[in-house]
Amino acid sequence: MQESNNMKIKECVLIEAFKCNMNESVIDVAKKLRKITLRHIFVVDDNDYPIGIISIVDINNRVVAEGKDPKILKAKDIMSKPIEVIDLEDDLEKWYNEMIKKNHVMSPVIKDNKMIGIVTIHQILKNLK
Amino acid sequence: MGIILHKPSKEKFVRGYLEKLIEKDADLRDVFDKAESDTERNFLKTKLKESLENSYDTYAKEYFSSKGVGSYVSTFLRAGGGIADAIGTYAFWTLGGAGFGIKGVGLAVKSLADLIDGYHYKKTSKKDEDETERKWLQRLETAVTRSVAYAPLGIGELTDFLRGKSKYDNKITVRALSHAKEYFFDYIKGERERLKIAELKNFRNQDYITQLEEAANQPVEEEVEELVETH
Repeated sequence: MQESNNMKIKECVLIEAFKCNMNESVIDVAKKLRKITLRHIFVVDDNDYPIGIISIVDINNRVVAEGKDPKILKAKDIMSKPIEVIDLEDDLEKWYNEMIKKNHVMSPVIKDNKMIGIVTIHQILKNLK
Repeated sequence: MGIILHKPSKEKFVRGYLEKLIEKDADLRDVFDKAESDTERNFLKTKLKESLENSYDTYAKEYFSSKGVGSYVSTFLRAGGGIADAIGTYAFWTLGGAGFGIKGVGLAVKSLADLIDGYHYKKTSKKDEDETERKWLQRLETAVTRSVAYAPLGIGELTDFLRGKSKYDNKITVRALSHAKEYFFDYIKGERERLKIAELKNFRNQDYITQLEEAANQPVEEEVEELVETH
């Protein structure tokens, strides 16, 4: 893995953590997604560490299309996992390569093992220039 | 620094001072006011909480957790001494010189209580570079308050009442708070390249925004606006 000189994730503009607890009901998750224009929400455990991701499409495919009850189902039941978690101090170029390889547009960023934000591939590209 | 809590446990110490410091301490308030988002503010709060916990462990835990029988004895002596002191003042004004004797006994008993508390303080408090200066200040304070105890109209009793044994508790607490601030600012110094975080309110779905939320929406910086446009 190439090391870019002193370029760290923390140099990017992050998006405030858009997250829900793993035990939140899917209906509450859907309400959160409705209020924000982002199409993904990250799922965190009780220690605020990201453990999964839910997209609007996941709710359609895993809940609505399956005829399941969104009031009973919890975020942890429908989230995609595992996910790549980026530390604020991580190397920018390393994650640029990882995200491109895995076709991720955004990833959760942690500091001291707690989710503090989201970094997008656009921001990583911008800072790599 | 506001009201001092006496003999606080670590939890009480942190809970009692976390919000108070953010609100009342000008340096800390400045840092928190400059936080660019709720996430950053919460993060700073977590760091201040950790600083308070560390400082308590280093500078206050031993003192507050090891107060044993000596504490009860000194409290008892201080109360007894205070009563004798007050009676002495009353006797002085009604009987004349005889009151001095009773007052003297009261002062001696209170001095003994001071000695017990002072020994505990000395034994358990961490030494700082300004320890020598503080020791002299402490002696000066004792000398002055003891002299003032002979002043008329109960000024001495009032002084002792306000100062009492809590002077040692207060010294420990103030020192722990001061070091907590140091810990926190050491952290901030290392984090000067502040994080740039675009708040979620910039990504609100206008179809589902309430009037109240709309009113709370603040103008965004150019860089944040650009980020919003791309998503």
